[in-house]
Amino acid sequence: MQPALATVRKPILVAAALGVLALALLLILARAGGPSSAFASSHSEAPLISQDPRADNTDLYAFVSPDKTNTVTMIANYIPLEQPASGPNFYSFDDTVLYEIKVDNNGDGRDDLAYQFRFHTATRNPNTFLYNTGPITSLSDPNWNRPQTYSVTLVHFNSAGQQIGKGQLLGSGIPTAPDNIGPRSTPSYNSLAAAAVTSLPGGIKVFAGQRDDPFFVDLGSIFDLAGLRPFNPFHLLPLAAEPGRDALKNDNVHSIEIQVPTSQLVSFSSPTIGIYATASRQKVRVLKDNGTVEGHGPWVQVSRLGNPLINEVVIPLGQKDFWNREDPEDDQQFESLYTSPEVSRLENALYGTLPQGHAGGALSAIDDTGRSDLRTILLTGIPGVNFTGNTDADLLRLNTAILPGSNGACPAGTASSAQPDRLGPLGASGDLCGYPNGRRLGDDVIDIDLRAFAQGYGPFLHTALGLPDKTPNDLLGDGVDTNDVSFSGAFPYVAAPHQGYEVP
Amino acid sequence: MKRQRLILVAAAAGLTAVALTLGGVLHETSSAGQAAAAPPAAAESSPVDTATQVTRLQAAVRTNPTDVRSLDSLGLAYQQRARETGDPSYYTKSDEALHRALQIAPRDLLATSGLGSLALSRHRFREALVLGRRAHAISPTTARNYGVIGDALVELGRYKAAFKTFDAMASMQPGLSSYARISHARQLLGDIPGAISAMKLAVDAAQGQGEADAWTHVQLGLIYLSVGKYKEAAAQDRYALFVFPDYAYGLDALARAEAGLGHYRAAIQFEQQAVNRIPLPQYVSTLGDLYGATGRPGLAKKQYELVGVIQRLLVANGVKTDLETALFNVDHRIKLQASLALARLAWRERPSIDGDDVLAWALERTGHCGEALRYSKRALRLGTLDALKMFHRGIIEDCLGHEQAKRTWLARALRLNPEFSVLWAPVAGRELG
Repeated sequence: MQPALATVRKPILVAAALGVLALALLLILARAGGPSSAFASSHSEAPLISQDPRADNTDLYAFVSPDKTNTVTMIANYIPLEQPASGPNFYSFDDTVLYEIKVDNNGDGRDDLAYQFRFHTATRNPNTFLYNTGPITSLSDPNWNRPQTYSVTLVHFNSAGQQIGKGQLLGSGIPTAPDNIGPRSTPSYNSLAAAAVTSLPGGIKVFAGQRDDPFFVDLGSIFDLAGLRPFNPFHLLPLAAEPGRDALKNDNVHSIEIQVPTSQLVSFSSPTIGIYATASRQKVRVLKDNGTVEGHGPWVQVSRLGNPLINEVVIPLGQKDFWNREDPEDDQQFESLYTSPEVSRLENALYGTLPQGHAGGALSAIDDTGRSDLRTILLTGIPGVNFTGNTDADLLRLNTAILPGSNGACPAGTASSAQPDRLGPLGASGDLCGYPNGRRLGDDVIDIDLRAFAQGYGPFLHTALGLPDKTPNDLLGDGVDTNDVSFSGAFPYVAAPHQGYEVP
Repeated sequence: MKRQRLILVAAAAGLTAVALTLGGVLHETSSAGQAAAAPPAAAESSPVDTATQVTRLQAAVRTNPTDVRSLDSLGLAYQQRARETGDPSYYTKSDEALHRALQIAPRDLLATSGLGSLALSRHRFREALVLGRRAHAISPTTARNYGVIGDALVELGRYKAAFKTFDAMASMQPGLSSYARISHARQLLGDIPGAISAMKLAVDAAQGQGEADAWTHVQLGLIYLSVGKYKEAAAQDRYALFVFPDYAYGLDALARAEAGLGHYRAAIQFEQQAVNRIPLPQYVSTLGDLYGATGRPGLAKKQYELVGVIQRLLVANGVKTDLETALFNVDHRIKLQASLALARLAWRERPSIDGDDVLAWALERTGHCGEALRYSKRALRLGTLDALKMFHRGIIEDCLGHEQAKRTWLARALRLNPEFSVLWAPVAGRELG
């Protein structure tokens, strides 16, 4: 191969390789299916490395609604990598999972309120396995054989984090939208989806069903030894530069969306709220406890998501199960993983200049310990933007008083009709309406994280808040800058799902 | 070493015979040609099919032989290939890859638990227990290590500890893996409604995941089958084949449900398809029994000969088959004395209620009925509702001259599952007169 390689061998190559594949594998294990199941044998072996896509929270978004700025829209996505042409298997929420979007509004990391979503699937015709037996022209069409409805419950918690009462049922029997199959089965999909947008008491709007996966990332290159195509020439194993390729192009996901008047979410103390989404499954025992009805708890949290990519790039393999069932209020125990990040070591080794990197590298040396900046943006919030106090908690923090313009942008914190900056505050315009202040659908969290972990926060945050802006670290990216389809300007915002008939 | 070589040669020769008999099916199933033949749902359950994944990971390991994560992934992907193809040589390859990973990183979590699951697949349960505990020490909070430990404990007959382990697993990470294990534990304890409700939770968790979806429906079907609900069983199996066509586990289960319904032609057809897909010894043996039951002893004999060949191939790849071989031999009156010795050996390795039952049956078949009763009592000590074990008990009681006990056990077996075995259910009926 390349003669240059001979000089960079051994320690670096080994160290880098250890880290590299850790990242790539974790991304894949988290978002895609690994070996899925049990092994050939005569005794009955159940799967050991099973994925749990129906309880797998892929992404969380929260933003001040650009078309209705006295409300906040929260979107929790589940079921990664849905293939549009997946028949005879179609996707739906799990009737035995409790889905929740939770809010901390006083900075103690504890839940103050939670919106709970419980699903129920009916079988209209027990004599067929088919999803539909004719065109689905309305949400009550008898041709839709497996319609799913859901209830929404609002639960409040006291200052100790304990639930107050049974909660308030905001709505039940709410229809979901079906999967987008094709012109014969789901002929006017957009009107079906529109009919699934439901208003609840108190000015709340909800939607649940299949949507386009708004996440965009070059997984193919990242899986290949943490490659970033535009930075190919500077990689330890260099290649020619190329534009990025969106691995999730054409993939769908299941979205739970809720739009709530801001006044119902914030407390007196602060306009900033911390949000996370979870999925919980019912705990069962070999010997059934008397009176237990299966499918109704007690619940164990199996997946959580506040900031994007934490489970994938910050939490090591041996702690992933544990991290997922812990609550954000206890996140101080994980602090050192944020302040001494594996990813920063990896960026140094793969793309850095000598001595910590290699001769062909380009990045300025990145600190891989003492990274209080990462604690700030991921665990406590940024002072002056979305700071919530000194309690560590992995939450998506949104300052609801920073209002966007009609397209969702607010350069340097002022509402403007400009297009949103995909890099949010890290971009040249310092768009404070984007991640890590909440998260909009178009925010490029891969590039934002790559730059943040590489101490390349961009000129705006450097000048305004003194965060480091190393170059060319502030140019890092996977080359995939936008989603494959555009978003809508009104609720439910996320684009319609790709149709099985169109996308093989 | 030399001995193993000999077995391999024998196995290879046997394989040729198998290939000829089955029209080259085994060869096809165990080659890379499988990828193309895989149903579309297989591609859906993971973004790339396992064969492609293996090729990519092999390349990654070649480029960077010290890359632990790629070695781990490759080792696990080989195990998935073994599951998909039934070719046990993937076990050997998985073993190599995971051991190489451990040489580089002795406390690597995935390699350790991966070797644990490999040991389970090879029926090396004591080894699996050690590896599961080692993985647990590396990461006490990871749920799947509990699965390795609990599965090993079940096969070693240490049920109290096993059930405690499954409870811990299900309280730290409820989901397909733990629900299925809770269901299996409840089935062992004779709690059929509880086993069904836990497996239904697993079914919900697996929905939309192709192979895993099919697997949970097959398991639910097998619970129905065990209590004589053949129609309900067949419905689950058909659903499994609907979402994951040509699924060997589904074809075998459907064949047995059809046999329960008395549809022997359909049963033979589905069992033959299962064998074509993955020639596991128990499928081939069931097929032989079905031929025997329909008056075709020549075809039955051919299948029985294949069983021995495949078992040798498994042994050559590190799989322990003593218990299965002993039961097969005893059932088919092959080398009875040697098979009793094998059953005793298997029992020491695997003192579970299955080990108890096979040893009890081997003892009865060789006239040691007093000792047989001791083991049969052990086999039924959990209250498991298993008609075959009840039938064995009835025959042992008969051998000891306990007429009333014999009638009680045989009647219980037939009441629970009237068609519990193609081979033995008719015998039970005749014995009851």
